[in-house]
Amino acid sequence: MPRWDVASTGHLTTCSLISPELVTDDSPSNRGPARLRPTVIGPIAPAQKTLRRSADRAPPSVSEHATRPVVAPTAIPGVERRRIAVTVADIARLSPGVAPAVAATAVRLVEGFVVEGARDRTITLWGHGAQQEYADLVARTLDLARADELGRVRAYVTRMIDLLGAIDLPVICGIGRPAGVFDRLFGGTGRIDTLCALEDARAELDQLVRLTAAALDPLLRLRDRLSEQARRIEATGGDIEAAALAAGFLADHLSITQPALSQRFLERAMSLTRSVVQLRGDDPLRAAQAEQPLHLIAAIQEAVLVAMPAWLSTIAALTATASGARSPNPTEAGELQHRLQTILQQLKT
Amino acid sequence: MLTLSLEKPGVAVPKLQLSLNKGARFTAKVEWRCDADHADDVDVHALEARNDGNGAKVTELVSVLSTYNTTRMNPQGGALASNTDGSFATPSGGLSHSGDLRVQNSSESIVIDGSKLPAGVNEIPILVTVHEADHGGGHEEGDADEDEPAFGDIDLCTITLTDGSGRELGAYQLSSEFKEFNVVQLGSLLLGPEGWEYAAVGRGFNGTFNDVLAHFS
Repeated sequence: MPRWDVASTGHLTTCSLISPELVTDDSPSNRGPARLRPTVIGPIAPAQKTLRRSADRAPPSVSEHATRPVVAPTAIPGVERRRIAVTVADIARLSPGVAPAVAATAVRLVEGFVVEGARDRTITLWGHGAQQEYADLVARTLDLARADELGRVRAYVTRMIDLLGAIDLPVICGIGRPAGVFDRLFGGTGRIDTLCALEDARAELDQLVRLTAAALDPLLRLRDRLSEQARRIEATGGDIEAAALAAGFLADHLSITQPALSQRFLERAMSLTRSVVQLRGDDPLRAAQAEQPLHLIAAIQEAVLVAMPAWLSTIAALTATASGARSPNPTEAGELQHRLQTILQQLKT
Repeated sequence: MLTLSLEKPGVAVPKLQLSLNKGARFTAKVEWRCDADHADDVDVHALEARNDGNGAKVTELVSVLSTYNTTRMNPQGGALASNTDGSFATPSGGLSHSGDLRVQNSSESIVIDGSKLPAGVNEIPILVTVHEADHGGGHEEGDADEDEPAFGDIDLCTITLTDGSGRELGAYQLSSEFKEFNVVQLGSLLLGPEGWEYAAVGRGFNGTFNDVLAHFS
């Protein structure tokens, strides 16, 4: 196991704070004010220490008054990782309007890239994971959009529309003209224009309402899953965009010193950018997929679970009345017809 | 020179969640994700050190916040008592650890509370080590035939330091920036004239935690 030599001497790191202790450092950057000098053992490296202060400046510590201030960290011996200098502004210059979070991710990617020892394979796989994840997420979203829950409820709603659309209330109420022979022959066989047919339809609609209500919970869970998928796709899109921007930055940054790596990064930047363009182009489609169950749920909640039961109970009363001594007058029939059309419109939407 | 037994019994303990929202509190958190067929053991450590101008030093094991220094992991030589949930802390409470975890796709964290650190402590070096992360396959890339484990054996391993407001003060992607090493110093918290501050170091080497202790004791 490699071991370091504790006795070896090293380089003095620098820091922006000035200690009241009077130990003079002879490095150029530290000439002038007297400074505390920490011991740093290890390979000589130019001073790169950055001192950052906490947003919450420390309250007076129990140890503060009795403790000598320290101006530079005591570093273990070893290899200092010197990052490529990059800022969010550098990334924003490559893509004006880029989201701050995406630019920050790109900065991290650039900072995390170590030029020394970089292999062709590393660059070939740059952003590949995010691209793969995007493809998987899209495939899973398509599977969800074809989920059984969705298909079953759509079938219920379609059947409701068929039944409701076939009801001829004016005729049933005796205020409309019955279908003639021509209509009976060519106007379709599902017409509901008798009290008996209306009662059968009402019973089936009752059944459909119960089935649809039972399917609401699975549908809500499906909606949540689709929303989560959409969120993950969006996040993955951000990762791909960040990888593309970081690759573009590195291609430019390494163009002189590492032309071969630069070329590889350029190729990856182009591939990743194509993915971003495709991803953004698919946004409306994904939004529509996510909204499908939302529309269906809205139709169920408004039309199937509220308006329809009320209408069906009125129809039940109507059939009872019509089979007795009194038929609905034209106003009552018109009101029922209007409510029926409203329900139909909600379901079709 | 302080040394610790680096042997660990095979116990994984749950992580303690800590709330950080005020004062001179810092959190060093190491997170790792790996889908290969091996258990990753990434550990984060911190020291209550004194720097009198000749480098940060610790003179007692109770100043060493390390899973190797707990009675659970090191019953013979551990100086810090482990809580039932696996968490542990220095006697001052200035450094506390969430507990050692040796499972894939997990995290460990250390909380540094500047208001609790003992008088005289003016530097807190923060380090992270990995061992037993070597493996025979499961990665798209990696050096499976290496003798020693290294951060590059893990798909994604990061360490971040945040202050009490959650602002990130420093971070390293260990699996890419220090992939050939198994010991990394993130940086140190320093007690300056205006309070506790963070200074990045970003150095890695191959060794053990006892090599770290040798340097700081």
